[in-house]
Amino acid sequence: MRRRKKRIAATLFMTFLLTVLFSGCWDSREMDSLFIVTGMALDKSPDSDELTITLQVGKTQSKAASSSSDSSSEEKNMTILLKASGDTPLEGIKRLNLNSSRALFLEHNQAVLFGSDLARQGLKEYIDFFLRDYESRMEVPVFVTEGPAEKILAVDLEQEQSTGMYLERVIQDLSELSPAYKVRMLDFVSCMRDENSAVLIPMVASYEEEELQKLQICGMAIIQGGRMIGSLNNHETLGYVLAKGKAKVLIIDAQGEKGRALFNTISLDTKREVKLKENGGVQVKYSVDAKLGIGELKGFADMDILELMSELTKMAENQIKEQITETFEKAKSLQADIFGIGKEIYRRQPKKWEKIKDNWDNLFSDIELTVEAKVLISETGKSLISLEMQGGTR
Amino acid sequence: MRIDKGRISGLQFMFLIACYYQASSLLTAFQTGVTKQDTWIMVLIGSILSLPFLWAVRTLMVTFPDKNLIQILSEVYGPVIGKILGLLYLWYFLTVASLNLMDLADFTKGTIMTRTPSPVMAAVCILVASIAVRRGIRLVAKYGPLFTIIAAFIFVLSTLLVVNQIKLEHYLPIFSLPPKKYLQGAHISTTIPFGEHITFLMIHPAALLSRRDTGKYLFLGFAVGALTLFITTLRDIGVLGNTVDLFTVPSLMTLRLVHVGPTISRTEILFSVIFMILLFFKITVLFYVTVLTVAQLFNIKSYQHLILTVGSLIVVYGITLYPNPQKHAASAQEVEPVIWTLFELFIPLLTSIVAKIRKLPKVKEA
Repeated sequence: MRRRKKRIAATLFMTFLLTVLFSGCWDSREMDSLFIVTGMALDKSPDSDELTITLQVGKTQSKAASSSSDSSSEEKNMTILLKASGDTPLEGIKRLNLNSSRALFLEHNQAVLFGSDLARQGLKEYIDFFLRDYESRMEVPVFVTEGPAEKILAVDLEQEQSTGMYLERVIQDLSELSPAYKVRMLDFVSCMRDENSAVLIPMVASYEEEELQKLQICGMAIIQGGRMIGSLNNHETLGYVLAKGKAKVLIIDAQGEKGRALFNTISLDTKREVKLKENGGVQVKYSVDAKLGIGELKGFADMDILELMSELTKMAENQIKEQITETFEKAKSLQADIFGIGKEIYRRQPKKWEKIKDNWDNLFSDIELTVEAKVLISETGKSLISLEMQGGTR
Repeated sequence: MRIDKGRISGLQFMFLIACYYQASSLLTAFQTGVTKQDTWIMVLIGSILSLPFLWAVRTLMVTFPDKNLIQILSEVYGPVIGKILGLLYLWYFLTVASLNLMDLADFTKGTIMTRTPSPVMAAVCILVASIAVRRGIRLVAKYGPLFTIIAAFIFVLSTLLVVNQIKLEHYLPIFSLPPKKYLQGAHISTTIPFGEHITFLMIHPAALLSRRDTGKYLFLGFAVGALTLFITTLRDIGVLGNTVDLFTVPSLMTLRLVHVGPTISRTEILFSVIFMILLFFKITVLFYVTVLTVAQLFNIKSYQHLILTVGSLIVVYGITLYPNPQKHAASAQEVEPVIWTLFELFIPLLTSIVAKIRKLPKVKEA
C-alpha cells in the first residue's frame, strides 16, 4: 500500500512538473504577431545596384493592427506595403523584420512579381532564396510586370482586397483555359535548369479606367537563361497556347473576305512531331485537331448555310495555322525556344542533343515549320443563321 | 538463451519489416541526387540485387531459428572473432540508429519547429522510444501493423492527389547519364534502403516462425517496403521533373504542390505525419536492437537498465556525426554504401556459407 501511495504521489508530482515546464511552445507564432504576406515584388532600385523588395501584407484587422515603420496604407486599403532594399531578397526581408513589430510569414504568399527592369537584367541569382527557404512555396505563381512590380502591388482594386490574391485567382481562371498560363515557381526553376530553352511568364500591367485602377494580363514575358529577352502580346500568346494544345475555352477570331467570325473552342488537341534531318536541320510539325463552336458571326451576306460552314471551317483552320506560325516566327527571330523543342530532342534523343546543343540557337532559327489544322465546327449556338445572311435556310 | 522473453507472431514480424522499409522510402534525396530521373530504375535494380542477400539472411534465420545475430556470429566464427564482429555490428546498429534519429530531428527542425534545436527533438524522440524498448519486442512490434496501414493509406492518398501533375516526359531521357552513376545508384539503393535487413537477424528469435513462414514473411515485408519506395520515387520524379535533385526532401515538395481545386492543397502535413510515425518506428526498432546487442555481447541478463545509457549515446553520437545535412547526404552517397556493403551484404553471405561448410548448427546430442 505504501508503495502505491508513493507511486501516485510521484505521478502527481511529475504531472505538475510537466504541465508547468512543458506547456509552452518553443516555436509558437500567434496570429497577431505575424505579417501574413500575400504578394511579393522584386524590383531593381532606381538609383543603386540594389534590389527593392516590396511585400504586400494582408491586414488582419482594419486599422488598429497596422504597425510598421515604413508602411504606407490608405484608409480603405486592406493591405500594407512594406518596402526595403538589399542585395538579395533575404537581405531585404531581414531588414524588414528588423524594422517591424511582427514576423513576416511567407507561407501564404500568393504571387511573386518581378519588375521588368530586373527581369531584363537577370533573375537567376535571386531565385535561390525561394528554393531554399522552407516557408516559401514552390507552387506560387510568378509574374513579370510591365514597369516596376511594386506599382502593381500598390494597385487598389475595387473588388479584391489584395492584388496578390487577385492575381492568383486570375491565373487560376486562366489555367482553366489553358495550362500554359499557370507558371509556378517550380516550373520557372525547372525551365531555368534546362539549357537553351526559354520560359514564358505571364505579364501584368496596371492601367487606369475612369479613375479606377485595374490590372490585366498583357501577354507573356520571354525569359531565357534567367533574363527577359522579349515578350509576346496577347495575340501572340494565343498562338503559343494553340501550339501547346489541351486548351479549353479559347476564343479564336478569324477575319475572312466575306465577314468576321469568332469561335469558341470546345476541345483542342495539338500534336507535335520533331524530326532531326539528315543534313542536321530540324523539322517541326504541328497538327492541331480542334472542335469549335460558332460564337459570333458578322457579315457573310449572300451565303448558303452549307457554303458558310465550309467557309467557316477553312477560315478557322487558316487562322489557327497563321497564329501558330506567327508566334513561332517571333520566337525564331528572338532565338528563344519557348516551345521546348530542344528539350524534346534532349528527352527523346539525348545523344544527338549532345552534338547539336552548342549550335542550338542557330538551328532553332532555321527550323522548318509546318502547321496542319483540322477543324470541326460542331456547335452553332442558339441560332443557325446570321441576320445579315440572306435567304437563310432554303 | 534469449534476453528479452517477449514473443511476436509471424504476421507482426512481417509488418515490422514492412514498416521498417517504408520508413526508408521517406528520404530519397541521396538517391535522386545521383541518378536524377532514372532513380526509379535504380530502385528496381536495387531491390532485385538485394534478393540474394535477403536469401542469405533467410538461410541464417532458418538455420539458427532461436539465435540472434551476435549468437550466430560467435557460433560460426568462434568466441573471439565472433565477439569482434559483434562489436563491429554494435557500431553499425548504433550508427544507423543515430543517422535515422538525426534525419528525424533535422526534418522537424527544418519544417515544423524551426527554432527548436535538433538535439532537443532527438532527445525527446529517444525518451519516448525508450518506453517502448523497455517493454521489449512485444510493444515495439505491436504498432507495426497499425503504422504500416496508416502509412500505406497516406501513400496511396498522396499519390492520387498528385496524379494530375505527373508528366510522363519527366521520366525521359532514360539512361543518358554516365554509366558510373548507374553503378553508384544501384549500389546505394542496394545498401542503404534495402540492405538494412541485417537488423531483423536480431529480432527473428522472438518471432514464432515455422521454417516455411520465415521466408514468406520476410519476402512479403520486403515486397511491401520495396513497392512503397518504388512508387514514391516514381511519383516524385513524375511531379518534380528535373528539379527533383534540388530538394532535400523531394516527397515533401511533391505534397506541397498538391492542388486539387482551391480546397485541397498544402497537404504536406500528411507527409509530416507519416514521416514522424515511420521514422519513430524505425528508430525504436534500431534502438531496441542496439540495446539488445549490447546486452548480448556482454552477457547481461536483463537489458532494461541499459536503455537510457544507450539512448543518450545514440543522441550524442547522432549530434556529432555530421556537421550538417549536406555532409550527411554526401556521405550517404559516397562513403556509407561502401562500408555498409561489408556489414549488410558480405558478412551475412559469408556467415551463411561458413555455417553450411561447418555443418552448423551441430545436431543436438541426444
